[in-house]
Amino acid sequence: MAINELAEGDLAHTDDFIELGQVPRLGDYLRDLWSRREFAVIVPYHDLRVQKVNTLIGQFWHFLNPAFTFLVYYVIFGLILEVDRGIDNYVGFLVIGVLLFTVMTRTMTDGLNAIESNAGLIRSVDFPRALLPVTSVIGQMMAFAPALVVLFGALFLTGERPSLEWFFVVPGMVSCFFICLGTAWLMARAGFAVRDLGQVIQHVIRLLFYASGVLFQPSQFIDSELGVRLFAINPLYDVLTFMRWALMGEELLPEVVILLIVYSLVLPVVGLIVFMRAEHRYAGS
Amino acid sequence: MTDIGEPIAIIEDLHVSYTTYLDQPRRLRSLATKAEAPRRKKVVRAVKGVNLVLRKGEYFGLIGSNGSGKSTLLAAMTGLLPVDAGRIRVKSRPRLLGVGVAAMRGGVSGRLNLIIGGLAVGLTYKEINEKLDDLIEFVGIGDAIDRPLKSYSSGMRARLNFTVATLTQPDILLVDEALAVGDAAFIARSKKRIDEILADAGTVIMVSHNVDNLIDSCDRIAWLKAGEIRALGDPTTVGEAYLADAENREPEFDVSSVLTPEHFEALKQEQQEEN
Repeated sequence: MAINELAEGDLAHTDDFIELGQVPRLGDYLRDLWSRREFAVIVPYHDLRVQKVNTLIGQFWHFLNPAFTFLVYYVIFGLILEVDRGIDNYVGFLVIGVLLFTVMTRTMTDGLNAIESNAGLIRSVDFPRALLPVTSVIGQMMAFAPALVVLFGALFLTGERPSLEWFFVVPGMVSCFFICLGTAWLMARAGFAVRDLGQVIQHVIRLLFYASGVLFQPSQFIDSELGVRLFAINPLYDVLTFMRWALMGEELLPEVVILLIVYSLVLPVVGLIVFMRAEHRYAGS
Repeated sequence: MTDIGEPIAIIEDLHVSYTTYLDQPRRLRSLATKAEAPRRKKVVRAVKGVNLVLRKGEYFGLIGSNGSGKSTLLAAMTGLLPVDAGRIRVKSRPRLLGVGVAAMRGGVSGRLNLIIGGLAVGLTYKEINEKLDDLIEFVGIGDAIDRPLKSYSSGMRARLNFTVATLTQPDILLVDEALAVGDAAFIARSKKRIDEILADAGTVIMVSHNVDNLIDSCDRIAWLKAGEIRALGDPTTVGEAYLADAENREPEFDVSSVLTPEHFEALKQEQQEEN
């Protein structure tokens, strides 16, 4: 009783068949991802638009939030604790540190939740899941645009004037984007595998806060030269240092630039490969 | 059965399981005695060795009681669950249309969810905007299209899901009892859309525990029980085999022609033991 067996010659058609429930091929995956690029821009744009619609002053919050964040840090660390030793323009130093650090760590937290917070969409439609961390990083970068206005405003008010070095903000932000993207892919996979990480991340971020030189220059507090140089291992520190050099002429060591380039290239590649190895499992949680 | 088309999906000795987390309170005593805590992870082996070939233009029905593995099989066919053993090969990725499907993005409007779904399916923003008015009319929920999705009733949600799932002509459409929640008008429109897909040489797989629905419309039916296919073929005969089993009675006519060999052997053995 042969029921539903393959008929003669049926398998002749199967060359171009896709095998399901397996790790996809990188080439196919990248093509799928690229064909959905509009998703990664349009979805976060609309998400941002609806985010503040039920508040009193709506979109102004996108400008006020970064301004307040910076002000709080400035009052505590600049005016009360006076950690501004040896920095000419502490306001500029702090505004770059605080705002960039905030956006970068937000992409980490978002990445960690990327799979779970989109569970509905993942279960409804089949699409390359790597699109979700991309979307959340692009969303954070879009949300960062008003913060950038605040940042430039603060720099201008404290006496910094545009120079040719300011153009290096562009490669700096590109590098920042790719580092965030790679990290977000890694985080998404990690957060999917171990849900407890959602609790751990806040402590990691607090630790990173001090290890990234957001408030101070490591050389102010650490005597050993090696100790100061070790900060360059932290990609967040590299981004902040590079941007501070570009915008206000702070010191920039060559290893910071080299590591910045290495991280921008390596993190996204490693992140994507690590992320897609669980591609076929993300919907099954 | 209609003309046999070329295969569009080939499932070979498929095994699928999924993991759930049990919410068992840990007893105080077990803490005190240092007894092992109850295992909180549970692996459910839902599909156990399924073989199936689906063909172009076929309207295929999948029947089985709750917990028979129907939905898991569909999820695996959509690429939503990893394959433990065996393989599924498909001509193109099947699209799943299910009632259990959660809201896509609860906080934003139905209109925006249509756009998001369309982009995720692979349409361009321009294509979606050109279609948007027609789509909104097809969803047919009036002004509610601009309300956040989380305020939708299950019927409204099903309408939106159906619209997204059929935005582009899928080669293989999997329908998981999604139509049951809509009202009569929507069911009629959905049936029309399914007919269009079939007419366009698409393959539709309909899952249900309602035999009559499937017998009326399907070319072939498979009966799934405990993760295995028990019977496959002519809808009326498979339907009777399923009903007889569910109602714990003898089939009203001979159903042996559709039983899968393993099940046929098992039944024969059972009868011998009884004699």
